Amino acid sequence: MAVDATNLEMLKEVIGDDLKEILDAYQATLPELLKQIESGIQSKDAAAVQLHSHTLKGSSANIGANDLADICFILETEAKKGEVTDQFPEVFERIKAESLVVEDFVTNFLQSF
Amino acid sequence: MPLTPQHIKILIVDDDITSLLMAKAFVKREGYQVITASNGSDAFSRFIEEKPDLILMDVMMPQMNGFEATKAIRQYAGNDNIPILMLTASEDKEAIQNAFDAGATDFIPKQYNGNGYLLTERIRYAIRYSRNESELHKRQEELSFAQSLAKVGYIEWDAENDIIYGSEFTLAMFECTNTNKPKLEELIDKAQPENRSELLQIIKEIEERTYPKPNIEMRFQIQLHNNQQRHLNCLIQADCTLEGERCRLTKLRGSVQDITQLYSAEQKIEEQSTHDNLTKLLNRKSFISHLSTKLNGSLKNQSCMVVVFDIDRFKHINSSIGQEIGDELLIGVGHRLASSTREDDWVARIGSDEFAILIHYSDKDINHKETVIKRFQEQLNQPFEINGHTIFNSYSIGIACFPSDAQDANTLLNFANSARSRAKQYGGNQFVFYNSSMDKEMVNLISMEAELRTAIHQDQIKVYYQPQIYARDQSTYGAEALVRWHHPTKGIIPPLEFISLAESTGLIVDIGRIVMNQALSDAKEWHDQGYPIHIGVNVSGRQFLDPNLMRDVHHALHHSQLPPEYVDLEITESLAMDDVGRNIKIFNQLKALGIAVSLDDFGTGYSSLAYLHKFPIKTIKIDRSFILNLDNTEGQEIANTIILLARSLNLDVIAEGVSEPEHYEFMHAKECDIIQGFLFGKPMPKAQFTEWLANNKK
Repeated sequence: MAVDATNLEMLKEVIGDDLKEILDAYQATLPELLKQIESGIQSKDAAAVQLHSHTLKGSSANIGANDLADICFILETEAKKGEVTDQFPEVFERIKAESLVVEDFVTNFLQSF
Repeated sequence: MPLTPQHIKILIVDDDITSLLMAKAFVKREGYQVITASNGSDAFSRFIEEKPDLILMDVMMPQMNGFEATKAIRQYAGNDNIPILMLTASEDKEAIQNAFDAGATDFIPKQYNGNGYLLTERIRYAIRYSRNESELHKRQEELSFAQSLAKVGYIEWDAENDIIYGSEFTLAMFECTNTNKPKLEELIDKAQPENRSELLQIIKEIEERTYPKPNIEMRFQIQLHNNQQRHLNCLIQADCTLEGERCRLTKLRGSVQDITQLYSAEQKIEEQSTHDNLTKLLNRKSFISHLSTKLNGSLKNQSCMVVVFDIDRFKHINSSIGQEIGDELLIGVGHRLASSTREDDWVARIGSDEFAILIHYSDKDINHKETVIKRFQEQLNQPFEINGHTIFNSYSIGIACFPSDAQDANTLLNFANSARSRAKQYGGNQFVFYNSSMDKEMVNLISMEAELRTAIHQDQIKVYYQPQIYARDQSTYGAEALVRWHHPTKGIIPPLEFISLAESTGLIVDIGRIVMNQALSDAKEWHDQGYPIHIGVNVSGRQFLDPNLMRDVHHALHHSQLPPEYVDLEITESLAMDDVGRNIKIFNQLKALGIAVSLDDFGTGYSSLAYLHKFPIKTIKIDRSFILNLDNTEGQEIANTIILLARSLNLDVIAEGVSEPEHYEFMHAKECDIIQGFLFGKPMPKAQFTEWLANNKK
């Protein structure tokens, strides 16, 4: 499942309207993070790839987008080894694909506020 | 400062906006104030500006990562231990270690799924802990401050390891320079020797469980480098573990306070006081000043008597009934004095058990003086009822008269005191009027003292020997060494005439040393000549209590090479019974040298039969007064009883003063062991005794 809906519902109960702000922020930063990762891969900057995929992993996990978080973790672990390899673009594609799914879900969810 | 969330400010640092907002949402929900930063250096700035109560810090951030930011904040904050909780990925062991090294207070796995319960609870705990820490720190500072203002410190002695614990401030009060785990000796190095003895005595009593009070209060007088004195007052508690009858001291701890100012105020008050604290009578100073004023003023044309008296054997009374009752007795005497004298007569306490009164009298009747004194004495002789004890005192009373004996206050007091001293010499329980011959005597005594000093240095002190024989066959047992003074002009002076002077001046110690050394050396000579005799040497009160006694005896033994078992130290019974506990100790020390100790003048003192068997003695010498009484049946019975008593305690008996054959027969019959007396030889000088020894061998 792209996003853990039960978790989001629970969060909504606990923090209420603040969740909207958080989801808005997520929507806003997601494209930026994807761009940073891509740029890192292209410039063979392993550290940059590690940093930004770590960040994306974190925020995705926060909102319950666990699949996306998992893939980011894979890329982060690889990047930690210090070198941008040929595998990286492929993993990135998976990240991009999953992001679209998540984005849809979040947009939908935001309408319930 | 209340612990409610509204008053608590939390700084959240995370570079990921989603995480930041999420954390902020949870934390705000609990009611805390929240400020945020999205990188390490921002975090540092906000920390300085806002002074938050707690920081949530994410570990991985660009521009100064979380660990560096934490370190920086810790450096800056110093003692102010602000709680920093680091947000880490849950299984990142390396991050957790780094967080610890950076100085983080705690770490929280960053998982904002669920309801953030873990986060907010951790925050709550961390805040409470840091509150407690601050409180503690503040209390410690407050206490330190108060202590340094009051000049009070805490001090502790670990008795088992001999280590002193105390702040530098406290150790400095003792002028103790070693601040790194000093020993007790180092702490009290600059204190007076009396303080050291007092402390050791207290420790001993605690271990023997005889210390009377639950807590110890004692003062120390510390010598400063500029020769001034600092006075400290210590209130101490002792921690012990019980080990059978004894109490093993584990710790002494308590407070020390600098009371130098208090002490000098006490001194000033003392100086200015006019009355004795215990009895509320006038003190010596004010008695004299009152007297002076009166003598120059209203009493100028009248007569009066200055009476000085003390309680006979008060020291002995004090030690047998206890100092508290002794004090009550003094108060009682004071009361009785005050109530029995008339308004014009004043009463004062001028010494520990000495009192003075000014009494008016009419000189129309010559006998009136004596009558007044007799009446006065009778009143004092009535018993005192104190705490259920009925106590009868007797007094040595001295009187000086104005204007016939002297006209000024000081002289009158001194004369009355001389008279009192004379009354005491005569045995006490009487009154003596001053007369001018006492003056002469005083002068005599002073010159005699000078002569006695010379005598010691100029070898005028000689030793005579009186033979002692075995009763069973009249063979030689040994001799008693007796002191004589070969005065250049006055001839041979017997001890009766100079021993009491020697005692009161302390010269007896030197004289005793001379006699002991001489007697032991002479005895060794006789041993070498084939006469293995015992030698008896007298020890007086002053000598007995001299701290060097052991050393002197040991020296005499060593120098003479006389086998110790032939030495008999003779100590009078009444001396021995005065403070039994202390004396038994001294006896034991002497015994440890190998010599024997015997009780002299037995039967005349205030023996406590209960203690007699506790003394490590070998012999008793029956006083000559009992021998003189042998001519009547009663006297015989008494002498017999004493001998039986000694036998039952397994002691040898020496009868002294045997001058008639009948005495000898009696003693022999009653199985007295050793005889001494004129019948068998008078005290004689060395050469003569050598002859005697030769003769007696046959």
